[in-house]
Amino acid sequence: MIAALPLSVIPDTDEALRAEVRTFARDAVKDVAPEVRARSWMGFSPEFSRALAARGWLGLSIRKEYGGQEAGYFRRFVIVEELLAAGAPVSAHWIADRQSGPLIQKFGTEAQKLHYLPPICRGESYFCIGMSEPNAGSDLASVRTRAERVDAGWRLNGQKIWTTNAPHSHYMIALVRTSGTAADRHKGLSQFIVDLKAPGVTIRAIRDLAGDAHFSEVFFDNVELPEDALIGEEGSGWEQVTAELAFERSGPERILTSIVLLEAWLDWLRQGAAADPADTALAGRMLAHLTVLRELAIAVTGKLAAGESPIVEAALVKDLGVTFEQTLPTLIADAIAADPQRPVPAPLRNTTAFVAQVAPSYSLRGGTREILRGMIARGLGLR
Amino acid sequence: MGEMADMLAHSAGQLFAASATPADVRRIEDGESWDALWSGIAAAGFADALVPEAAGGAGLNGSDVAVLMFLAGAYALPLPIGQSMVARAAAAQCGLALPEGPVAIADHTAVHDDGGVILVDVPYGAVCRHVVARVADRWVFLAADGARVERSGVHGSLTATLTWTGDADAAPGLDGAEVDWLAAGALVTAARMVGAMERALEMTVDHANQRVQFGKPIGKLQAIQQQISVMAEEVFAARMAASLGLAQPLSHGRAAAVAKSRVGEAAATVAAVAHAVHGAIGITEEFDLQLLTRQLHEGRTQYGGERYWNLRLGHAALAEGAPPLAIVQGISAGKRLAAEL
Repeated sequence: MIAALPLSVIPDTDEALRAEVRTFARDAVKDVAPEVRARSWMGFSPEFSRALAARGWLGLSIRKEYGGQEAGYFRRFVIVEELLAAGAPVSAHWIADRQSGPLIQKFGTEAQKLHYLPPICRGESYFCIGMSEPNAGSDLASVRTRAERVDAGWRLNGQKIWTTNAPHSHYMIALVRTSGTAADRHKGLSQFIVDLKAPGVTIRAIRDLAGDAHFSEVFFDNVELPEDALIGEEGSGWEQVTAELAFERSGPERILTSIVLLEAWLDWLRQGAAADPADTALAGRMLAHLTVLRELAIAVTGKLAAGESPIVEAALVKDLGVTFEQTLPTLIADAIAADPQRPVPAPLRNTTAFVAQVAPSYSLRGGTREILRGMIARGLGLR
Repeated sequence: MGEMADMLAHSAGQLFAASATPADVRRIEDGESWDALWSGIAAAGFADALVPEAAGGAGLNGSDVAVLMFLAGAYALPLPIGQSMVARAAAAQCGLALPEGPVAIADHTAVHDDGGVILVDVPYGAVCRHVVARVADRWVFLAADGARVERSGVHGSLTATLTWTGDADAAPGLDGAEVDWLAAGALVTAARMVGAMERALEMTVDHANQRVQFGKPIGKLQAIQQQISVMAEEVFAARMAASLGLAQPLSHGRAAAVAKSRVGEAAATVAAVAHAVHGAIGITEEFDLQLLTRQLHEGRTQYGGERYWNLRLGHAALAEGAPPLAIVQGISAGKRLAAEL
């Protein structure tokens, strides 16, 4: 069932870091155009990731014995907010820091934790997510990539698609079938940490409609995996993936993807003569939405910090957040085109265009809108 | 939620369940006496929840009373309880005598006409003893006894225009209260609307699970599920918006602005989905849904609608010059949660 999301406070000790992170992030991107920064967490920079790690700003929810900061979910929330608001290039460490690391900490053996977590926390080891396949998107339980037991471990065959950042990643955590058939649905699935340098792995980047190539197809042709590539329990893949998706869906990123565009538009309004009331009201409306969404995201973080598993609540906030993120470029596009006599500076024009082009992806990745709304309906007791 | 808030919610729920039943609400909307209901509210100490302890109140903060304000909406309480609480606290702060009976807050400045005073369309003007209003550049309490009360004519509405000919009995001295009265009225209205929306969601889910068509509950249909999920999202957003507003001081116009804007926007969707799912029965007078949705429609237009508060927020934001995340953080900073005992 879905629980209430109470107004929650970020602890002072975590707030205290904010100014420093903001200054660092904004300094790092001060010469970077808004349309590049609007790529949000897709910007790739190993140097930046390692610099964050050196300051103790990665691995926040990882325990110290594994190289982490053990500083909790609110610490990460504050840091991530400021990085995303600046449009800083966080993609190298993003998935590892957000979900792969926490997943390994939650389900891994001691040996796995000691092996994988320290380099993640140093910003040196990059992960991608192996879930979707050409015939298994929303219906994730129907994945066909298979791992069979062999003498030295496992043999992996199949493919994954829509894998963000695969060409830059060292590892993939892949959801695969280890027993039974697709008809068994959630039973017989397992997760593996796949070394993407292993023989038999082929990665092919996919160009998107905005000209970037953030995601990929990844093919597995008789890839040999050691025994300890299995993470967690054989057959527990579905439960593990569900927990991983809760990590993925919580956090401020789900409401901040379009914020570089919002900032660029507000700055343009401030430069001109007195703003049109329609623009002023629109700015106010967006800030009202953003204020409330942020409080909801803080509340979800509070539940994670309290050790709860706010799966439906995170889905609800994610759906509300992406609706806002997608509406923003539509409304700003109309606003900047309201006066044909007033030319729009190229950075604002291009940032608006870019965000409008890629905005459909916001409600596709991490669970489509229709799937999330079905989850919410179940949480309300309708299914 | 704090323990104090829990206790308040429990006793308010009991009182409203006993004395503000749907039948009671209909009777009072029809013009019958509200004395008993108000007496119960006053006797329980709810009217003085925000009054400082030194002045005989409970000394609670906005977050402590949030649930009470939500319950007022859920029960379609036909009295301005939120406005009364704020007004009595302000009176105490200014060293004034606490006004008797329910207190309304006018959302329009008084009009002066032939030596008389007119307050147009006062929310709950038909069920109040006093009104907080701006008269001749001062914030005052006006006694409703001396006024002619004309109800708005909107079906079931307790909004009324109050007209005093000759001198209105005005108790001045509220200017020192540090209250943005329009924002305060907007905030308590937003909180009431949240309670109404939550109850509407509950009714909608129940109806979807019980109403059988095509051999199954209509809640099994994806089209219905998706609409109700959107409704729930809006209810969550609205509750958070009002909660944030109540967690900030009443001089904090921005948090109240966020609340009224976001809640008003949510209310339109919530009312529409509730009626869509309920079908024709939801449009009847006899079915209780209308007690909730009429509050939502009326609340949107009181104390400034979404556009008004969006303009105020937008003006402030453009003048401030800070990046949007910093502005948003500023609205949230310093919020005071409900007290733990």
